[in-house]
Amino acid sequence: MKTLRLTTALADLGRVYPWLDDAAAGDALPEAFLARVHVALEEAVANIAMHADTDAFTLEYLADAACVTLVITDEGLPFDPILAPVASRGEAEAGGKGLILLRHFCKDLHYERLNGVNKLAMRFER
Amino acid sequence: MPISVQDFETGVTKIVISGRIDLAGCGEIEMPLSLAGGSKKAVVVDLAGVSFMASLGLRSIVLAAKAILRKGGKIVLLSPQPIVEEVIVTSGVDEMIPIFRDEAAAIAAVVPVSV
Repeated sequence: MKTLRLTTALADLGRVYPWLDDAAAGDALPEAFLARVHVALEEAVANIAMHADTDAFTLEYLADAACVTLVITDEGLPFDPILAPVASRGEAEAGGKGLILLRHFCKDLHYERLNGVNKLAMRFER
Repeated sequence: MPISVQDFETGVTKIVISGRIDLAGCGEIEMPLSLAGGSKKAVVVDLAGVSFMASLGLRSIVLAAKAILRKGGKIVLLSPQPIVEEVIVTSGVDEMIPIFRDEAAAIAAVVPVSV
């Protein structure tokens, strides 16, 4: 398991992509697959940075033969991205697309709130 | 700068965005797109050179599009790469901003009608 602790400062947020690429380097993931993971990762990270009222979060990367899993934890406001309402697909709102994309690009999502910590596991089928 | 804006005599504006428009890069396109939204009425956004874009980058385009559409203008997207197109279609933005593959067709879709 590979982990990264980051602040939500803009200068730090851009580090999530090279970290993911480094973490996945030994797993021979196709470029197109990795791009999909990048999209989901960005949506999850942006959600915390913009809405969770916290200044840090932690990422974990796990991979096996079948799946890649990213786990993101933060101590911000409780937020379940699985149950949260989203704008309907055609709605011309500028915001609210992140959760649609997060749900689309992951094989499945698992969320839990435990002892003041949000934990979101994003699983991607290889 | 991952964005350039070019005005043509036909009244069409071509906005070319390129590179990775991610958390670190989306701020660079925000102001140019906002200015275009406030001042242009016939816009083609060329996305062929964009290798990555998620909802944050798309948000700047949607905001510009809403401003253009509000004043009766037209805006289309041109040739997004597969991952970017999947982001656009999944989020439903293509229902507001149509996607074209052919530049001539994209220009024809927005060009102001002469009177």
